Amino acid sequence: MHQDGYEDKIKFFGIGKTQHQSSLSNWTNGNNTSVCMDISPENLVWNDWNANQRDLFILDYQGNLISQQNISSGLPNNLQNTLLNLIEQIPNDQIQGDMNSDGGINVLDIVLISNLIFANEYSEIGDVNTDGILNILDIVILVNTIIGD
Amino acid sequence: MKFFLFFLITASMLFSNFEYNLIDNNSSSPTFNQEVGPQLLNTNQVTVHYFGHFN
Repeated sequence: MHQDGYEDKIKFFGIGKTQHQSSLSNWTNGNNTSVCMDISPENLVWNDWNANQRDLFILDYQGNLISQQNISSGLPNNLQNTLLNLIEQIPNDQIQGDMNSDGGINVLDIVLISNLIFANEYSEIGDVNTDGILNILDIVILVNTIIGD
Repeated sequence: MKFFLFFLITASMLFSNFEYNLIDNNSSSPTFNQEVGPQLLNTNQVTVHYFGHFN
């Protein structure tokens, strides 16, 4: 999923126990995933989550539990689809018209939209008036926004 | 009685907070040696948590 450009939409965590820390490198070698150790023998996080060995928890972007599944017998077939569906639910907080995602509306965004219009291409972010068409009206709105600022 | 117990367990699962504060022990991770947990993320992200014995 990281290869598909979802690395900023999904975060993986591994949670082990300090009693097994001698084997920690099995999880940390060759990846940059967050790997944590719950303090044994209490294992408070494991207990709070009611987790068992090889349990996989999926939370949505609001922290709600979507599934808890033991994967000792392998990953569920629908795992990727489940994650993709959850990613689609994440609200897009990009500013309408902010083509270069720099957090503001300026002349650079107008240039980028103009290029798309000339190339007869569409951009949902550039379609400021959300009429389904990228055209001069979107540029007029952006110019007014900039002048108004 | 069984129904009550089922309701109680289900409700406790639904309303429990799935959070933790643990130190990231992966030296290759961008959050190495920092506290991590789903509630500490700055951005809206789906999170996946795998519990295991490092084997």
